[in-house]
Amino acid sequence: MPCEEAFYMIQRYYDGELATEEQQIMKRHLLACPECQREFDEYGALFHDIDRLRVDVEHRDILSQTLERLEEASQKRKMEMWWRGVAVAASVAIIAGTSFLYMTDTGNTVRYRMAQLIPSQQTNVPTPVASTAESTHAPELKSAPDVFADNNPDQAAAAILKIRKLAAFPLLELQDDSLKLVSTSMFSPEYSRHLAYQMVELDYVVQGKGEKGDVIHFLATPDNSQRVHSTYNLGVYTFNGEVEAGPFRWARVGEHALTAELNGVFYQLFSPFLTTDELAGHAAKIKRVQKAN
Amino acid sequence: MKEQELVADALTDKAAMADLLRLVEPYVFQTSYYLTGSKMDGEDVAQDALWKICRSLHQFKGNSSFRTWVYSITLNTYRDAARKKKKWFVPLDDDLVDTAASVEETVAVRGHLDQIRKEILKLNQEDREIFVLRHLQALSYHEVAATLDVSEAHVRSRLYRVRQKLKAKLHGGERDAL
Repeated sequence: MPCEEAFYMIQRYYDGELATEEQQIMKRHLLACPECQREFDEYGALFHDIDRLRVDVEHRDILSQTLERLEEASQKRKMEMWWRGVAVAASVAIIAGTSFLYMTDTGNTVRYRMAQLIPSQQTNVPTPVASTAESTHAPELKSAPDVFADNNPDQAAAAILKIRKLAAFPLLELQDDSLKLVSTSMFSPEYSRHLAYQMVELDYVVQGKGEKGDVIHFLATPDNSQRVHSTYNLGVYTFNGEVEAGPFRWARVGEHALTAELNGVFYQLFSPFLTTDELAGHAAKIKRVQKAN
Repeated sequence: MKEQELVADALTDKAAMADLLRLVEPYVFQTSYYLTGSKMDGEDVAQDALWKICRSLHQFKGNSSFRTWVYSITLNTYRDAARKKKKWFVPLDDDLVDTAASVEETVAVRGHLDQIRKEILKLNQEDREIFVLRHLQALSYHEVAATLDVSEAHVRSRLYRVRQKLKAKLHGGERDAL
């Protein structure tokens, strides 16, 4: 056997890979070749050293630190989930309330009341600048009601209370038994494919009030001027009933739409000030991703 | 199968997650320690890697062995850290070897083993990774190849040369000059 071959055999021997027969061949070669025998001994010393390198090294408690961090993340997530729920309830409360009014009153009356209500209740909170095609015809407000809440249950509860007072007419909230969510979906209208523009449809049926089985559509759209905040929303997908939420503010209000800021993203909320036909027109463009019942 | 069950449990149960992390922590730390050559740096890399393992556990699909997956994350974490901290690649002085670590060694062999550790730190990154996984983590050639996403033949070829080099440096083989 050539020494070159023995070289590989020696290493394989220490790797524990040589079959008994191969071991015998190698040993015969070593007996006849002092140079390879020396090589064999030197590799033996090296592998012995390597074995001794494997020691348990005491170190700081990485495991506990990781578990603590995991627990903190889990708590934070629970808090955020809770807050999202509240914010959605708040936004739906407004729209559901106006929707209900629409069904029990004439559209004109509602428009009149809403136009009266919102501007007169403005406080000194600065208005975020929003510019959507949908709101170009809406009168711009100098300020918005103070319904700010920042991850704080008390603030959020106070904000909802304030919204209810401001609305001054019956409000339906998510918990209302008469309000049944039929479907939720998100879509990007074809005409805005170049924009970071998306609509959220919340499809509700109000039971036991108004005309039985009346359907209300809520549409929310992130404002393109806030593209940087809404890119992750792009694409058509099933919307599971949660919107990105945070400090909820009314920014603008118009005859047909209300722009709200949620966590730095502007949402255009189409209210039932739109006629049923107009809403149906919007709804027809919506790709329904999910439909319950 | 058992691995996948452990992972599935860990994703839904806190205690199971803790058990799983307890299981992999020694491997993650030891690997990080040998790769960085420093206890403190090893702890930092290991902590980072362990956190990544928690956070991306849901991405483990069972295509590879869980062990291989854990080593891959550890190696990637080490590489990211090494890019930011270039000294691990080119040890400049003896201080890089953490002599406080080897508590079980006698003074007589300590110097010799430290010399080996220094030589390991002088290896290029790929060779060091191969050496650490094969010899200090006792992975098979197949597992090393899977972790590094290279062929088994490549791992063998590199490692044979590395061992030859180490032998020449540490045990004075005259024929081993490279």
